[in-house]
Amino acid sequence: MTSDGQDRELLARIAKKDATAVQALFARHQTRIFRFILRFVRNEAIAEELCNEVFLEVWRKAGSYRGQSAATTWLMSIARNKAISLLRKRSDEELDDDYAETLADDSDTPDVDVAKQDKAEIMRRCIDKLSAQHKEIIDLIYYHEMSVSEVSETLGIPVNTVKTRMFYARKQLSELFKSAGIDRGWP
Amino acid sequence: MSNTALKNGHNEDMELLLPWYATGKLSDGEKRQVEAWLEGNAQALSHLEIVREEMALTIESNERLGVTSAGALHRLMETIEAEGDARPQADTQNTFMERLAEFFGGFSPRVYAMAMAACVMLLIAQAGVIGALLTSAPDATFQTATSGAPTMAEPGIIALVAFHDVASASDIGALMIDNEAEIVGGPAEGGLYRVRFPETADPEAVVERLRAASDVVKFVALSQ
Repeated sequence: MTSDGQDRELLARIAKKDATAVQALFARHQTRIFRFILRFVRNEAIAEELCNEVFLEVWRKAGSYRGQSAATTWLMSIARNKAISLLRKRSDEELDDDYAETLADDSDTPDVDVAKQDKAEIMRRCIDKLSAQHKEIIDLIYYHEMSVSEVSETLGIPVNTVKTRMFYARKQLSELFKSAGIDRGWP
Repeated sequence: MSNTALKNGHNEDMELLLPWYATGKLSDGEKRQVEAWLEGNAQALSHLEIVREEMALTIESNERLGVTSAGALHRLMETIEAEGDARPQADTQNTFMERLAEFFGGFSPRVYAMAMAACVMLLIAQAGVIGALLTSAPDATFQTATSGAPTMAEPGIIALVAFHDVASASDIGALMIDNEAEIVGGPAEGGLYRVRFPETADPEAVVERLRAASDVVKFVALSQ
């Protein structure tokens, strides 16, 4: 059975209120859900609380899962909605529906001396400097290994927008690298 | 697309698909198209290397984010129990082999091999323990790692530990050796192993050491 098949089976058992199944689903996906949320909220305690809320919602709503998307896509969509909902409530961290206007945090431009610091560390810091929108799509594709259609479902945007958003996220990343003294020759 | 980088003699569609080619998430048809474009195209191949570098950095960046605390699952299960609609486990009890398949399905091949070895050992030496871990009484409610009771007398300090899917057998083995520990039971539901430490060890220190090995250990809690 595929990994998604196993997840679907667990969801079917959760829909029948099998508590051991939610434990198993938690064990399989808690880390990815936690990290995905943490990227949004930037607070481990809050991220953990929201992570638990995701699985609590799964417990309550597994019966409504129709299997039209991968189980992980469904989980990530719940996680994203929870994170965005929380951020909307924060007066100091407003988040618009498409939060397209979010820009990279340039308060601490990584204009460090490449020769003196670890290049990989500088590049990782650049990833952290991406705008929320760009960081999210890069995480979904590179770390969570979502297909174009899965990202489309999770973010609620057309597949072509997924592709172009990813391109511009990568472009923004290259610009951050350049500002840190790392020119990769692309784009 | 208006960006000159995509218009400057490149195949726009193929360029856009490179991230998914790198993660292996393209359809067979798209994959063949990208491979045909890459063949003999030095510039495209260099772009693919850039994508792979980005992917590695992103994974590493995420892996540094840490994991949930040891009590997260316990709190979740307490909340679920409080909702009062959980069915007794026996109503939905899967067979032994189904549970094994479910458990192994979430593991990488490396950890799968390690887990299989552990299971064989346990089947020989501790069949009773496995039976107790994988089945439960008809009227049982769920038990989390932090609330599960030992299934047999075990001298020393017992911790319930889940390892990361990407943890290698050698990583886990090294952790056991460094802490004079041994796996004495499991895997149970959720991938939990029973790990025994010397009686002289400080329980809190044991937990802290395992939590510090966050690249190997996903979850740890002392067995009550």
